[in-house]
Amino acid sequence: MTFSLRSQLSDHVRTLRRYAMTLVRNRDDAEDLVQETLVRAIAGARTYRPEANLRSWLFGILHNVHVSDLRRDQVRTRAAASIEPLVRSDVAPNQPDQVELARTMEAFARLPEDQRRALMLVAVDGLSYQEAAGILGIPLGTLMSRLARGREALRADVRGDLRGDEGRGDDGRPAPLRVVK
Amino acid sequence: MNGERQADLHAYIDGELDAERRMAFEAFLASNPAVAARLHDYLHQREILRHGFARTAGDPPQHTESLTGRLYGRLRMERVVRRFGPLVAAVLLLVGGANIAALVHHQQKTASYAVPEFAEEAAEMHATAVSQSLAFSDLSPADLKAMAEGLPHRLGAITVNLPALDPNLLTLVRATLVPLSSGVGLQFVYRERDGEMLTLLVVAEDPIDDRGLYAVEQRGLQLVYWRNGATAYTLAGSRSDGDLLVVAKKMADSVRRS
Repeated sequence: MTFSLRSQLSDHVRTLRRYAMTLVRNRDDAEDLVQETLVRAIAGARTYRPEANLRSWLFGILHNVHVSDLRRDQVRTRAAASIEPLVRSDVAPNQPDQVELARTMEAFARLPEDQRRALMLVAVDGLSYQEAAGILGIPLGTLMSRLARGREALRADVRGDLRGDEGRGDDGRPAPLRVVK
Repeated sequence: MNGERQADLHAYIDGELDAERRMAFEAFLASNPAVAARLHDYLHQREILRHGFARTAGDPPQHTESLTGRLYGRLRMERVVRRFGPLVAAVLLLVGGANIAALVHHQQKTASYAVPEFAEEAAEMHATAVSQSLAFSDLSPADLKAMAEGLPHRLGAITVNLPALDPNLLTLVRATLVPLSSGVGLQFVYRERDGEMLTLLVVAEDPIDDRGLYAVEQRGLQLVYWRNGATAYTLAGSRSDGDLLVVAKKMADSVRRS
């Protein structure tokens, strides 16, 4: 039972870290957000009821931390200065798979925040619709429409990007036109 | 594709369809290659996102790991208390009031020897600081000193005195505000002449009239803590107990003089 709690907690923290990145789009801010969430969870451990959903409890704390005025102002300032593309620094850009990966992650970062959150919880972290809707505090139907819109917008964005490359040269500039007989 | 089919497409991807609807949707897919292609795109998109986020997030930093471990400890303790607390209370009621009084006295006595939470947290801060020694800022000593002098105001409406130390013996290498289980603390990391690192954690506490220096071992580290009015100080290091006590004594004297 206790082993199960430990592994559950590790899984949930992994999920929190990924989700935090969709909220703040900057690795350092995301890590700060998760650490502050954990600090508050430690302080409020007495309020956690064992029969409650641990992941939902942690997400609730994370949301509260995220929307606090101080953090919101900090994040706004930093995000306005430069929004860090999600994996730009990690991906070698010259391989086809890596190009698709980088473009998908960049397109994901461009999605509206409500769609990013829905996609992250359901598509990436595999939460049920019920749990994700509970965490986001929205009706099930709203979650489903955000998912559908997010997936389609992402697909269209990446396809547009990749197709745009078909007419480009190796240096990324448009390939010169050739006369076809 | 109508709205219902579209909802089914996403529910199918996310494993939200029951067996009957799943089979019906698979039959629909078999006769609708355009929808099947869309399904393939979405599944591929999901794989890329999962792969991308797994790479981006990487392993959690040590401080996150450490906080996760502490949260696990707290939750486990809460579970035990909730599970066995009522049973213990019932047994105590049966055993009788005199024994309860004896037990309470014993707990109070034990508590006075327990390591305070702020000292435990200092041990953790020190372990983290040492493991991240390469990440220390390269601020100038003057900047660090200015930062150290500005930090005490962040602990709230209390007066915080910091030790004045011989810079030839201890060099301040880090001064920062750190989150704790309850509130915040000030963390100062020093380097001794022989390269040994020491961490001083300063926290606001309820005022206690206690002028003692307490040396304890925690997580394989030596800790010395003391109080000064509404402030508690913990010096953490891996040095031998006696050496750390000497440094802590100088710090405590300096704090109390100022």
